[in-house]
Amino acid sequence: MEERGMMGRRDFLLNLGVIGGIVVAAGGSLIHALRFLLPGMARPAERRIRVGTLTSLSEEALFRTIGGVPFVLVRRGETVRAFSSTCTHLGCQVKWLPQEEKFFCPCHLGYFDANGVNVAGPPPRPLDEYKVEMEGNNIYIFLPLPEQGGIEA
Amino acid sequence: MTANERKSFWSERLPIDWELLQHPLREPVPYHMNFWWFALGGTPLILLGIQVATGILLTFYYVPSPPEAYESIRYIQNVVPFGWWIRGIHHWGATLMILTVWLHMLRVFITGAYRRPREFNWLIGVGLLFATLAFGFTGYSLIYNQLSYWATTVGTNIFKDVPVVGPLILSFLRGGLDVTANTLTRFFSVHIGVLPTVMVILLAVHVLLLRVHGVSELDPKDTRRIVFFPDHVLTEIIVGFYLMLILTSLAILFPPPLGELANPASTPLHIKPEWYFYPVYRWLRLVPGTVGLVGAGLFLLVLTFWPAADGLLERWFPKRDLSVVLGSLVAVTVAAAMVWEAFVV
Ligand code: HEM
Ligand code: FES
Repeated sequence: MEERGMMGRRDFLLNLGVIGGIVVAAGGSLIHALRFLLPGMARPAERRIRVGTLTSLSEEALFRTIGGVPFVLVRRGETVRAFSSTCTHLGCQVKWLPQEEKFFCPCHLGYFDANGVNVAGPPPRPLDEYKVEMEGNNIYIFLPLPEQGGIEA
Repeated sequence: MTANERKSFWSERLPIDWELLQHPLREPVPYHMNFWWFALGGTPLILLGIQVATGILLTFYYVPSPPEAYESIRYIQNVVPFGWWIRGIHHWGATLMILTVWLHMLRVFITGAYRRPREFNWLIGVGLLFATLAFGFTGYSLIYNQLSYWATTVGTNIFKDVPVVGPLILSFLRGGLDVTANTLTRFFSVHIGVLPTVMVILLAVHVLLLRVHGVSELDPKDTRRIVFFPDHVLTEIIVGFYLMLILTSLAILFPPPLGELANPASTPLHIKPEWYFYPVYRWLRLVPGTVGLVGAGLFLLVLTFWPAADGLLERWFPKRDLSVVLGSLVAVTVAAAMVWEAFVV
């Protein structure tokens, strides 16, 4: 009887070892395979970029894309602001309506005013704003540029 | 070699009991399987075969890389001999496949064929529906024109509002936080590798369960039977010929559009998903944000576990056949949302 019990325990430990080993090996591989599927999770670092001069910027909104990141410059007198032109609802590109002085998103009819504030439609928050620095006539903005990969516009 | 020798030559090398195989082939099935409406499950199955064949042909020329993808489809459509035919069939085949999966589901719903003991097969069927919709969504994104690019952007972005794991799901779908070259290659592999595998496995289980339960009876008094082979197989072959005729006509009369090359810096003024996502699109426009998302999720949850929900309904209201009323109501609402989205801006 004693011995039977010992064997049972040994078998149990053996099974535990074999099954545990398989689970750990498979699970470990699976975790790394899943990680393989998730590149570029971190938000890219901001870089300071010269985007033009004040004198060449009209009062209209100016849309540009640098390194795959689309943005828009809005000039009001001597101040310039930079917004992401990506709609905060589901990511379409907004357009500028010169008469109404508003941004308009064609996807689900969202509207933002010239300060980027969501004023109508489904967008849940204002357009993202990028920091602007003026150096004399030169305009610099701080743009989050992805390190690698990604489609160029 | 005499006939007898030939026979033993083959039976020695392929030791299969053909007599035994006759059995499932000769299985008697209810008489109503002669009618297309009741044998609707076979139609998306045939269409899947057509999609696999045309899809594999398309991969001979398709290039899953951002600007070239669009160019390669233009090449298939305008230069490759019969490219317009293969692409046209794949495009319209997808449309018909999604349509007939829904119709098949509606039939199962209305005749109550999901009830005990066939609840699991309803569940598998819902999996097949999701796989078919995922086929449509990933396939459409491969065209890489303006409409398909923005449909992909908006469609994947819906998941960013999922509480807690939203960004994780988004990166998982897109291969990064934004729609990039990673997204296209990812959707391509899912479209031509992952989904076909999942689909075939689900289908195998679906058909196996169907065979072991047998096709459900409509009217227990109707004892008329036909045999699976050749009777029913012939019906399906006829359906297959009709489908090829319809698909070819559609490919000629309404060739799938090419549109303009995707431009991530500019969204066109009129964007819309493919018609089969109109009801969701309409819903998310009416009820934006997390509430709309949770609502849509709840709907899918009830749809998935309908047999259980139906069981509860029957327990609470034993006298009334609420499921048929409810099902018809949902079908009409979904169809109305589709028409609304199609004809009203
Ligand atoms: C093994 C199976 C399949 C393969 C290898 C395959 C392959 C492809 C390829 C290479 C394309 C890009 C060419 C093009 O857009 O015309 C494509 C597009 C597409 N696929 Fe598939 N496919 C398969 C199954 C399916 C299924 C089952 C469905 C539908 C439910 C589907 C729906 C679509 C759609 C909607 C498009 C866009 C077609 C268009 O509008 O031009 N595919 N597929
Ligand atoms: S994406 Fe802009 S309103 Fe929906």
